[in-house]
Amino acid sequence: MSQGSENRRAFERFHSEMSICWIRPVGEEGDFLLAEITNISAGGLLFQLDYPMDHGRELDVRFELPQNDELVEAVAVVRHCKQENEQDHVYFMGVEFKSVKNYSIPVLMAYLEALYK
Amino acid sequence: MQKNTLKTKILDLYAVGETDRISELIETSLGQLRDKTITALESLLLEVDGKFRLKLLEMLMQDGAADLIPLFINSIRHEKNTLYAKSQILLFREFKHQEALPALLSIENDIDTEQRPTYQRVLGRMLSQFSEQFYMSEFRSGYGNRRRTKFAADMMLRSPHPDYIPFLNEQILQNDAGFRQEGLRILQELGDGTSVEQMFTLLSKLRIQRDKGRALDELIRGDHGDPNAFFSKLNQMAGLNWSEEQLEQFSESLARGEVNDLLEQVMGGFLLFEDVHRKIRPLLRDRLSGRVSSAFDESRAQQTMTEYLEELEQLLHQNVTSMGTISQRVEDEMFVRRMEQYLPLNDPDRDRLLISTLAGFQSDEAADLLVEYVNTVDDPALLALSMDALTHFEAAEIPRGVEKHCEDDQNAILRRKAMNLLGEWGLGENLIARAMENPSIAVRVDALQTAAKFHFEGTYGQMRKLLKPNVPDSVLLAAVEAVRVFPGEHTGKAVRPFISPPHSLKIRQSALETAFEAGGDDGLDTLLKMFNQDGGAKLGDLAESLLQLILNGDMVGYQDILLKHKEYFLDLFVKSNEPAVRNRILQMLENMEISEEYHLRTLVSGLQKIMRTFKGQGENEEEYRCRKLAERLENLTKTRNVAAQRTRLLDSLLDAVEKHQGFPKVQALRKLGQNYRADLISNHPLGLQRMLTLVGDALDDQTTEVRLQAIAVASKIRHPRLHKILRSMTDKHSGAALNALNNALRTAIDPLFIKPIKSVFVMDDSRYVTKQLSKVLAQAGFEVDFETNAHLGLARLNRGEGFDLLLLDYIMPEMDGVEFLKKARTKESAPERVIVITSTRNQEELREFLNIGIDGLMLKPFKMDDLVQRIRDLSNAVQQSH
Repeated sequence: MSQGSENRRAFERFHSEMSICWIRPVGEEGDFLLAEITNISAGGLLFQLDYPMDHGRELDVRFELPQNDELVEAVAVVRHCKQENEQDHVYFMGVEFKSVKNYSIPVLMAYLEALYK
Repeated sequence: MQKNTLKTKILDLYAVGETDRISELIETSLGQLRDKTITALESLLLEVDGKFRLKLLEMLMQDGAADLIPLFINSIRHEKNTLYAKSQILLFREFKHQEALPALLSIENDIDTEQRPTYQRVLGRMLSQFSEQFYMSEFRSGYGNRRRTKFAADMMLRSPHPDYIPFLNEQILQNDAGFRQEGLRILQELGDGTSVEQMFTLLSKLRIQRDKGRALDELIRGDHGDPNAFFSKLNQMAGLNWSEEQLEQFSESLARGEVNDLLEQVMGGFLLFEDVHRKIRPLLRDRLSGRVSSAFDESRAQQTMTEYLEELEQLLHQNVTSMGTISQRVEDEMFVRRMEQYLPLNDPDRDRLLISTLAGFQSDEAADLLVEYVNTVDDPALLALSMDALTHFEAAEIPRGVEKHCEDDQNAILRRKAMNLLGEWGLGENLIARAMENPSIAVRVDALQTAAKFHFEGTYGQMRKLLKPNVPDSVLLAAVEAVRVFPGEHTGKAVRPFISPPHSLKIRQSALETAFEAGGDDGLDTLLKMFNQDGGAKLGDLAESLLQLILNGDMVGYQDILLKHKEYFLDLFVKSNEPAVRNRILQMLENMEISEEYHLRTLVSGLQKIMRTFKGQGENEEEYRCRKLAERLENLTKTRNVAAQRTRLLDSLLDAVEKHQGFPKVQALRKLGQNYRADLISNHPLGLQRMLTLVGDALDDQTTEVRLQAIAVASKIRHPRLHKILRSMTDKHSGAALNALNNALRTAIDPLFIKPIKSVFVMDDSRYVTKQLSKVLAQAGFEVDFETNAHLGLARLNRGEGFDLLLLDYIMPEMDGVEFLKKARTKESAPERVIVITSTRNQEELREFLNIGIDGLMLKPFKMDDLVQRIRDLSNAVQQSH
C-alpha cells in the first residue's frame, strides 16, 4: 500500500449534502471558483469542479461549516483529480489540508464529528 | 547479559541480511524477558542507522503492546532523517491503545516543520479514534474560556463514555466556574455514586467560598478605615493562619506601602475565581495603600462581587440538584437524610439547598417533603422555591399551602406560583373559579389568566359572569381575553356588547379580537353587520383594528363573507379619513381572487366611484392602487386587450425621440412626457427598457434644451435608474439646469417600480457557480434561472424575460461582466438591479463597475447567507427608501 493511499484514508470522511467551497490556486489573482463538496474530513476535501487541477497544486480554499459565522480558510494541496466521464466536464478532486486558519487539524476534526456524525 | 547478547545477536543477523530471524528473535525475547528486551532495544535503536531503525520498529509493531509506546516516541523524537521520522510517525498510528494519544501529544513541540503535516494527520486520526480523550483535553483547555469548555461538554453529552465520570468528578473541584457548571451539567446526566461523593466535597468548597465571598462583599461596600485596620479585617476573613513572624513582615510591608505580595497572599484565602480576583484586586490594593480608588474600580469591584455571589449561589443549587438526580438514579434512598445531616443547621441557605436537592431527587419522599415545606413554612422565598420544585412532580391532591396561596391577595408571586401549580397538575378548577369571585381585583385577574392558560373549561361559566359592565376594567379586560380560548357562539354573543363605547378602547379592542377569533362560525358576519349598521358612528375607531384582524387571518376562508359586505368596505374607503384604513381595505381587496361576475362588476364600479373622488394634479399611491385594482378586475371581466394599444402608442412616441435631433427631439421628448402614463409600460418591459435608455441618452445630449426636456420627462417617469443618472448630473450642472435636476430628484419614485426582488438571473461562466448559486437562491425562495455562456445569456435577456435582479460574474471568457452589462443595457434588456460577483481587488476594475451603475458588489469568496441577505436588503431598501 502506498503512502499516498494510506494518507487518503487517514481521516474519517463526512458526506456533505449542500456544502460549497471556494477555491483558487495559491498566488494567483484570478477568479475564485465555486465547487461542490462531496465529502469533508479534517484531512481534506473531496469536491466536484468543472476545471481540472494539477496534482500537487496548492489551493486557497474557503468553505462554510454549519453554526460558523465565518468562512473557514485553508490552504490545501491537490492529491488527485479525476474526470468522472469525458462528456460531462466534471472533475472529482481530492485535496489535502496543509493548514487551516484558526483551527488545529484535531479541533477541526472534532468539530466535523460534532456536526456530521 | 541479556541486553548485550540480544543487541549483538540482532546486529550479527542484520549484517548477514537475516531479517526474518531478527523478527523471530525479538518476538521470543519479548515473550521471555520483556522489560529487559525493551531496554536493550531502546538502546539499540539509538545506535543503528535510520533504515534499520525503521525496520526494527516495524517488527516491534507486530507486538504493538502499550509498553512499547515510550520506545517509539523516543525514537521519533530523536530521528534526524525527515523521511524516516515521517515513516515512524505513520507507523505509530498502528497503536490501538489510548495511551498512544497523550504520548503523541507530548512530542508536539519536537516535530519539525517538514514532519508536521504527517504528524497532524496521524494525531487527527488518533483523536478521532480516542475521541473521549480529546474531548477531555478540550474541556481542560477551556480553563477561563467557557465557550470552549461548553463545546467539549456538549460533545461528551452527545456520546457518553464512562471515562468522563472520574474526569469530571475531578474537574468540578477545580476553581473555575465554567468547569463546575459544565461538569455538573454532564454529571447530572451521566454521574454515579462517586460523583455524589465529589459533589459533597464541592458543596463544602462552595459554602466556604460563599461565606468568605459574602464577608468580602460586605467589606468592599463598607467603611474601610485605615490600611492597617482594613488589612486586619481582610486577613481575618481570609481565614489564613500566619505565624507571628509573618504577620510582623506583613505589617512592615504595609508600612512601606509594598502591598502587592501581601495582597496576593491574603487574597488566596478567599478562593476567588480567577477573573473575580483580577477585577477586584485594584480596589483592594488601593485600600491597603491608603489611596482613594477610582469610581470605576469601586463600581467594578461591587458589580463583580454581586455577580460572583450570584454565580456561587447558582452553582450551589446546581450542585445539590445534580446530586439529587444522580442519587435517585442510583437508588440511594438514604441520600436526602444524608444531605439533611450534612448541611449544618446554622447554614443560612440550608432550607433552600434542601429544597433544590429535593427538586433533583424526584421520589415520592421528596414530593412529600416539598409538600411539607409548602404547608408549613412562612418564608416567602422558601415557599416560592418549594412551589417551583413541585412543578417537577405529579400530584394527586392539592397541598394546603398551595390552596391557601391561591387566593393570597398580599403576595402576587406566591399566588401566581400556586395557581400555576394547579394548572400544571390539572387540579383545582373549583379553586380557580372561586378565586374569580375574590374581592381582590388582582386575584380575579390572575385566576382568569390561569384558567385561560391551562384551558380550565369548568371555569367558563364563572368567566362569563365577569363579563358585566359594572366589573372593574382590569377584570373585565382579563375576562374578555380569557374567554377567547373557548370559541363558540356564546363567546361571541358575550363579548360583542363590549366592542361599543363607553368601554375603554383597550377593552373594546380586546372584545373585538375575541369576537373575531372566537365568535363562532357567524362571528365575522355578525361583526361586519354591526359595523355596517353602525355606519361609523360608534365603531369607526375600531375599523382599522378589524381590517388588521381580517388581513392577519385566513383571507381565503373569509372571502365569501367579505365579498358579501363589499359595499361596506367601499363605503368605508370613501368616508374614512384614515390612510391606514384605506390602505388596509385596498390590501384586502388586492389579496382576493375573485371570479364571480357580480362581485367583479360591483367592485369595479365602486372603485371607479372612489377614483372620481380623488383630487389633485399627480396620481398618488392610493389612486394608483385603486386604478390598478380596477384595471385588474376589469380585465377579468372584459377580453379586450388594451395592452397592445398601449404598446403601439409608446413605441411610436419612442420612435420619434430616437429619430430626431435638436429641436424636433425636444418636441418628441415633450410629447413623450405629456403622454406618458405608468400603464404604458406596466405590461411592456422591453418598452420600459427602451424608454429608459432613450431618456438616459437624452440626459447626456450635447444640446442644453434636449437635456432640460429630458430632465422634465425623467421627473415624470420617476424611475430609479433615471434618478440615479439625475443624481450623478448634479455635480456637473448649475443654474436653471441644477434647479430642474433638484426639482426632479424631489419627486418620489413611482410605486410601480418599487417591487421586491423575486426572480434572479445568474450569469457566470462556471457551471458550478451557477448551479450552486441557483441552488442557494432557490432555497431562499427566489425564482432563479442561469446561463454559463455570455452570448446565450444576452440572448436570454433580450427575449424579454423579466428578471428582477442580475447576478453577474466579472471574469468570463467570452466577455467580462462590464461588457456584458453594457451590451444588455444597450439592448435594453438588463434587469433593473444588478449585483456583480468578483474576486478582483483591483480598484480600477471595481471603479469601472461603479461607474457603469450597479446595485451591489460581492467580493469572492463570500458566505452564501451574506449573498441572500444582500439581495433581501436590496429588495427591502428599495421599498423603504421610497
